[in-house]
Amino acid sequence: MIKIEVQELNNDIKQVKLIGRLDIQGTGDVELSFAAHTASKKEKVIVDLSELDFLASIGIRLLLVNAKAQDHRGGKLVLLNPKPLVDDVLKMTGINVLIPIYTDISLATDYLKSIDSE
Amino acid sequence: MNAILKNHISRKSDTKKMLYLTLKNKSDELNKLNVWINNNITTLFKLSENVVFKIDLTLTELIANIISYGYPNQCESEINIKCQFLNGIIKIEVEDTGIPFNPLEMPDIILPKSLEEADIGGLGIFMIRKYIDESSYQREDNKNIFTIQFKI
Repeated sequence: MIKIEVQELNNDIKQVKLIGRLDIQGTGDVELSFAAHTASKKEKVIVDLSELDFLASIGIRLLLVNAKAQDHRGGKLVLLNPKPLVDDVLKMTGINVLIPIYTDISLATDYLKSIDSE
Repeated sequence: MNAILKNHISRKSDTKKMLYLTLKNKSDELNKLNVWINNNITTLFKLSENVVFKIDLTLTELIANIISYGYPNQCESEINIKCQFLNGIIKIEVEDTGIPFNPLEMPDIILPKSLEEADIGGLGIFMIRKYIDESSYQREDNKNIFTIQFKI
């Protein structure tokens, strides 16, 4: 079971929250809508993982594919607040090296705001 | 209590603490696996969130791999899973009739250094190996038998 919640924040930043399990079924269920919300146009996206309970390799692939697509569009995707067990998976698979992970939303938005001024 | 009786009692309780699950080699069966782990195993063995997560992740990756690659001829078959908790160790045996596949023999993947390089295959097997404490593989009677252990 997975749910996706999208919220527009200030400074043209979009927050996409994944709630539930990114296992095989969950990833399949959310794949298209997640891609549409995070990588269909140039954008600054915070993917909120604070209510994600489970992350399998197929879910990691979903995050990677869309972070990469957003990079290609000239935007940026970052991750926010994974639970400890999900955070372990992200670190063990080296995702933390590829996609920035923040534990504080204000640091995530500061980083995304700073991209414009570069 | 004499030794024979004691032995009998402990053996009886060990047998009780064995759980079985049979799945068809179809991906929609993974939901049954998820329910089995998060309800049956968790409740019977009173496991912590941390251990359940490890078992969940490892079995999800392993069974998904068997279903996706084990049956190139698309034939219908069964995957049998057995779980036992003994002396502080969770031991899980997964038996399938798919093509010979030893997850322990897969070469280690090299994790990408940048998003640009990232095109990860083999991540599931990599995760299985990272999360289990012990494992063994046997090919017997045209079956893959993969046994994994978690220390509690």
